[in-house]
Amino acid sequence: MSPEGHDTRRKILAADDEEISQMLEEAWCLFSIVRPELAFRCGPLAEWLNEEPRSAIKTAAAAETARAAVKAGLMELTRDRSEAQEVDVLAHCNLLLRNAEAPGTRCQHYSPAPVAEALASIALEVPEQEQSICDSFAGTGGMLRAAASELRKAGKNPHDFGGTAATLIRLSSRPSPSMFTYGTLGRASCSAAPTASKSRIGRSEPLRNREAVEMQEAIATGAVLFAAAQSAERGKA
Amino acid sequence: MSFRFRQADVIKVAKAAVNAWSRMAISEADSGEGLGVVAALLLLGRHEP
Repeated sequence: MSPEGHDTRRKILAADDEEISQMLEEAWCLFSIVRPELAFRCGPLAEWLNEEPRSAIKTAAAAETARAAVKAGLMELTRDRSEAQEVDVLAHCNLLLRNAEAPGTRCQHYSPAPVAEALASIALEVPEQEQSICDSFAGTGGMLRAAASELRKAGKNPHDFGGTAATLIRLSSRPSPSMFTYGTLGRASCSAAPTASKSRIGRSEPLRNREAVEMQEAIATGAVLFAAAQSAERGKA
Repeated sequence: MSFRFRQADVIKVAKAAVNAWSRMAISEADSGEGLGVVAALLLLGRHEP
């Protein structure tokens, strides 16, 4: 484990409940600043941190969860950046937290990393620059993670590719953790659809995927224009 | 590190986190927030998520 990992482990284990909440809040704030296009989808994961007053029971539960995860070895698994890309802790948390009926009623099945990587290697046999990758039924983003891994193996930079994923969520309930995983691809976007009848899902998903791609392209275009304007300003000065 | 060994470690961490959350959280509707805690832990200390 890196010295930084030891430091984070020590800090969490020494902190009280409120201090741990503060750390979680800061982590989400940083994520919102760095990845605003993903952060708005992750809002429900961290909304309770903005509540006034903050829920005491959730603060205590979050602190207990953080301590338990750290004691069980989370930092040893994920503090190394390159190794962390191979570790899908959120997928297993999601599997454990989901409703027991989810596989049957919502067709939620987890693709283990080796399976996802095998599929990605087939789909990306000859990756082309500016190609977009769409996982139309993303759960934890494992397919996009595998795609990024395969691109790296092929000597490509995942940041040169667009990643798109659509996910199904239950309204007013648990959001998918997949948005978090999309950090593995540089330009990523996602769409979320509430669960509905199979026919409705069949009709709406292609549309939602298209919307997600359009949104991602609009953000990328805006960023390019902004960078060009800044560059021109610097040239004048 | 072999895949099986790593998977066992990952599952151990996930079980520890989920057990701790489930012991204290209010209902299934809060499980997304439980995931949020683990997600934030993964972000801690990183300058670029």
